[in-house]
Amino acid sequence: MSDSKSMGVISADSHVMEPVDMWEKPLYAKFGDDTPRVIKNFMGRSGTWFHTGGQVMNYGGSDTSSQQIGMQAAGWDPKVRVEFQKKADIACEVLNGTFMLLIMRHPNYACLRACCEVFNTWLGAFIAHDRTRLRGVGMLAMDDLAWSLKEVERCKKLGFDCVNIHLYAPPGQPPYRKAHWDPFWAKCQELEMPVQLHIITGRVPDPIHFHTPAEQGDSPRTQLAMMYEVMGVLANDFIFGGILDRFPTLKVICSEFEISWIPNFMWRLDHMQDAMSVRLPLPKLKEKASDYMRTRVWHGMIDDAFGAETIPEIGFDRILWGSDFPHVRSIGLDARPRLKKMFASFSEADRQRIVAGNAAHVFNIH
Amino acid sequence: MSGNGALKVISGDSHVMEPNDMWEKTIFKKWGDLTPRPVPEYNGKAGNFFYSGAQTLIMGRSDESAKKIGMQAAGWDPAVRLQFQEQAHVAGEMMNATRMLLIMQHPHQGVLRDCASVFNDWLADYCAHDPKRLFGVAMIPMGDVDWAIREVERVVKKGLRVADVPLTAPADGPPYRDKVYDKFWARCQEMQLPVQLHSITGRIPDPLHFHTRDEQETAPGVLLDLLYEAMGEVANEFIFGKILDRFPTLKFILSEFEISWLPTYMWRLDQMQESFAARLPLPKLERRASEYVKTRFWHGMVDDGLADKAIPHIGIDRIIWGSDFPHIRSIGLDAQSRVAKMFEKFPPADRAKLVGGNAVQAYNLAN
Repeated sequence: MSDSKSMGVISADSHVMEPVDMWEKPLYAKFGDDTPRVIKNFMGRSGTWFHTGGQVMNYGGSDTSSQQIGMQAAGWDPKVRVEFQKKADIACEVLNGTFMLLIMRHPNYACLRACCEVFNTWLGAFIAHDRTRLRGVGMLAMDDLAWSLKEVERCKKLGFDCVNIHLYAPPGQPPYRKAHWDPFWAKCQELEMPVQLHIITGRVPDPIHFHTPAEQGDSPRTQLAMMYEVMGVLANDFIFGGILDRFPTLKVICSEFEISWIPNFMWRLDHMQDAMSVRLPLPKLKEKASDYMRTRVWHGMIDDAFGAETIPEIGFDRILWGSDFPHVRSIGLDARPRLKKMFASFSEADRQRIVAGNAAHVFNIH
Repeated sequence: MSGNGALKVISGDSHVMEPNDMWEKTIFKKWGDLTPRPVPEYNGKAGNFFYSGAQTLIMGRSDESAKKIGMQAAGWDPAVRLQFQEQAHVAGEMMNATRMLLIMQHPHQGVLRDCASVFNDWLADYCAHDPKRLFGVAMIPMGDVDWAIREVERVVKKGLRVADVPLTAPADGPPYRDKVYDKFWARCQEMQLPVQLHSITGRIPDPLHFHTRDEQETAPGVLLDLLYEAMGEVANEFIFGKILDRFPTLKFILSEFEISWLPTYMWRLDQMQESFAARLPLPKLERRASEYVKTRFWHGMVDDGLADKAIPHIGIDRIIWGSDFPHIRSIGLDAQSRVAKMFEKFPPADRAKLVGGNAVQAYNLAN
């Protein structure tokens, strides 16, 4: 196998920074103040915020990593993004939303669906600039099955390699494990479209955008709840809820949750299935519960301090490195030395899989 | 080490099985149907249930491990408990509640306080049978801080060793970081009384007692919420809420949460304090956030499958093994062989700390 230098690095989790007026222009006439947009007054104070529908964002600090290197436009201008990639010696990035991730908690689902459509169209045009280097993740609201089925097909046509859904089925909807959603999993499986669960798209608010001292007093608890929020949906819906058994070739990706929580989580899953089974009536699974995490789910990591220690326990084939660029604490122009250091204890072949090969496989990047 | 090469094993987390009618006999007249008690029917089904105040428990299987070895009475009869300890070569046990743990979620604080006092009296009598082998953990609801202080003073006089407080402050009151609780922490510190946070005493229901199909479908996620419930509380209240900074010699014990979640948790705490500092306004701490987990808490484990990898990251001095006997999946007569295998990678001196030495230190058992 060639070394990672010759094959190139693929960031499996990078971000665009959507133009802040992207939704206001096409949707305000229809949805009025529900429309995600810049606002200049909040809680009686003047300033600049972004109203997502679910939260009011402290706007301006999200792309610090690109600001610091004078390449802020890489967030919305594909030409600048490709320049960044060349400078960072990155061959390709799988691009997620930024504002759109937070908009996923919008309580007005008609507005949310319209926001997804606007975003997907915009991202489709962004990646069309260079389809080899720029890969896209479509955003799908999950309150209306018929719409989701239609939009996932449109995402495929737009050239996306993956669709990101709500981390949990929205309130008022049946949970993902219910047969109601089976046509969606079947469609994604048929289209060979991986389904991604990304941090911040669940039910826990982002504490970075808390405003009052009372809210901020709960920041550590909220931050942790957000970082571990994926555990419940994996256990309840995808594993014990039988989705992975019913759709044996469906690809599921957990994005930006890091990975060192996984060994403990896998042990807990097996514990439920084995030691606790006398008192915990659970559905019978085709496999050992932890094996679904090792064989059916891919796991995104950025700079998990225990990454190198954890990867062998999960499997070298399941880890997708992503830079998170241009977000706070992300990895930018220093990607190469950071990766070399992070995965120094692994063989070249294993490193290659983590920083490119696994992403190429799961996202069908050839 | 004892003479025959066996480890001196002290379980840092074992359980009594309270007589089911303990509360009905004593407080039913005062509290009526709010009283925790056996109930013969639930949701139209006849059965063997126990009303805890927050849930209706499915009874009869909590002490599976004692039943299997014909020593069920070890749960309520201290003489049988000592027989069990002799047979298992266990030198002593920290005795936690079973039903009273679940009663800690009772929404009525007046009932809860009375339940705790009844339990504490009963447990003190149980442990008085052999105070050198039976170490009692008092249950202290926190809805009334002055009462909580009076109760810890009362139960310490009766010989109980630890104050177990609900994992989360009462839902209708301020969180633990609020200074209203400071006089309680101060009193425990002054009395050198360790404070314990045990699983199941927070706000998450115990999914082992779910009844309907819809509830049971959510059981895996709810169980995970329950097993990880300490994370948020420790971070928000005890570390960033600065209880540990304000009370620098107060001892805290996390009980039955296991330990292999801790290394990544400590990294996340430091990440919040450092990498996210620019965007996450947090109180300034006297130390690095992870240091509190390593130096101010003791961490209880039963049979964590990844313990040997986790322990070096946390510190050999901070881990307290407990059998969880007689609960389901607990360790009983095979304690010596199980701990020997579990900790075989550690040198004998470290093993001795894990299976008893640290418990002696944390719970002041040498006194």
